[in-house]
Amino acid sequence: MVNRILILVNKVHQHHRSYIDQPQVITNFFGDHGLVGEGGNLSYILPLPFFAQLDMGTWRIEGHHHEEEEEPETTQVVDVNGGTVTVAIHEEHEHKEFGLRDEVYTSRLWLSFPLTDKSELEVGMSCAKGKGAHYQEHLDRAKVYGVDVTYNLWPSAHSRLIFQSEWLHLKREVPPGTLKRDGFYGLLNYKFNKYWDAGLRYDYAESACPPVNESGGESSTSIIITRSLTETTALRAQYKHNSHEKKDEAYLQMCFGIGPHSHPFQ
Amino acid sequence: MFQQKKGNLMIAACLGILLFGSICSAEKIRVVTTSSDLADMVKVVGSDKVEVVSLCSGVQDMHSVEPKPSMVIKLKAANLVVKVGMDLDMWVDGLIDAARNPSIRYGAKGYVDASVGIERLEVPKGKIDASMGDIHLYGNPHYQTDPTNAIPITKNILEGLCRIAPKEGEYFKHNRDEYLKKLEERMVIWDREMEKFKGSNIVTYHNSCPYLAMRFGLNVVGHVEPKPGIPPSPAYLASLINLMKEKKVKVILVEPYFPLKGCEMVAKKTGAKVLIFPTSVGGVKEVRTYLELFEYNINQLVKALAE
Repeated sequence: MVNRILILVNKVHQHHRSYIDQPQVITNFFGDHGLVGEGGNLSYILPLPFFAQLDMGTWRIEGHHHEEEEEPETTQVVDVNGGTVTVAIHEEHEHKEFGLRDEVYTSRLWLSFPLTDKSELEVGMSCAKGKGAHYQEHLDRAKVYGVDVTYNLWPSAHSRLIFQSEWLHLKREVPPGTLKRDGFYGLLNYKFNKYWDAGLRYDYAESACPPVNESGGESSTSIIITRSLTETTALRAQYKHNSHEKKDEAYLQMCFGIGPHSHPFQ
Repeated sequence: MFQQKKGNLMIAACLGILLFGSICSAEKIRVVTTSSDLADMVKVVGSDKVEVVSLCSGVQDMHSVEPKPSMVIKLKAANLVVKVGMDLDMWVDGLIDAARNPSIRYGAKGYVDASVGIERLEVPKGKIDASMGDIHLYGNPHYQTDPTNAIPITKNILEGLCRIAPKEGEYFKHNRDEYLKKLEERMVIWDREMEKFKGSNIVTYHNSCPYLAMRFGLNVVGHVEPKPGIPPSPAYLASLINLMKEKKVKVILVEPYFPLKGCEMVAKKTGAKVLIFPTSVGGVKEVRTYLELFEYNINQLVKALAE
């Protein structure tokens, strides 16, 4: 079974998200495609008067392999115990994408509380652990902890307000030490009527890759507008300003379904 | 010693209360429906033997209900789920899976599709694609707008309740029979009231009234939506105005959750009257039962068509 795993937004099917690109923290901590793997998940609804679901999964995710035929150059670095270890030297671009690969273990607790007939508050806590995407070269292991909160308000039959935020903390152990990185996003989305919704997303994410003593994050702000054409068809536009790289991006997306279909509840 | 006995008595009393409470609540069949009409009919057939909750209220559009985690908890505890079917409430399928309650899964004894036995209208033939709008593969799913469809709906509910509590079968059957007698009496009155308006042309916002039109002999000549789920363009509204003038349409029926702006403009240009037309129990505050729904709507229709 190929599945989108864990972490609030990572597990949601792409066309069900209120925006086009994935939040930067998901890209930085899990790679361009998010956390997607083959495996199994045990899910249990706790016998409580409110919604409380516990998920535990184990997954197999293919790692990235460097395409070099020859042995890479190596260098020696000092590890946390003062000893030296030999690590391979790769081109810079190959270090930029990080993610969890091979055997990955996940868990998530998802709680929801109806506040009124028209509003609900969801809170989630997530955890994932596994080897780094380039484990053969970097000998790294990582854990990601996440906390998320979602507030939904349905003022009328076709209008809806969503506030959603998710914070993730990465602990990446590499031979020279441990990298600790943070990232989060916040989304405010309002559906005006059956056909139009607009949203604002703020992203902040630190890179999973710089050396131990160097830290720094990039932030961006997105404005998203969606026009629902039918129940299964939507046109979406997103403008994103990255204040770290002083870069502007624009996306246009057309979502369509081949007939009505239902999704697993996420 | 005395203190210890007192403590034991307290514990026994608490356990007794808990046990009594669980027995009392266990006697009631917990039913979850997807619509408020179905909830009303379950209440009628199950009476004091059931506890009913509807996932969708009468002011919500059944096409676009957003599943919530609190709905999962209701389904988890349910003995019986009653759904509209015909793809109208597909959103409940994912919730049923998420609830992991084997007794209400498709085909289980606690699963009722209320559309079984309905004489379906507008079942699409040939190639179906998105250019036709939000079309339903199994036909128009708004069958609750014909009051006589309460007969197959309550039959499905009765069978479902009997599967859960076979010993109460006679009681449920008696309740249903009494209800159908009331419905029959009301149908005589409604038919009489609507008789003189047979053949009248009407327009509806969404294609939600073919069953109502068929029952009372009305002609639905057009919709404010050009295709199901598609908003009207100014050009389309202009053509609708011409059509309504040509066909002498006096009323536009709009469910409480659809926008009135375009309808009011069309009404102004054609002299037609916009009726806020609830199609489910609770759609307006005066409508608390399925029979009251038709009492209210037929009253409105008779007044507007007579003008």
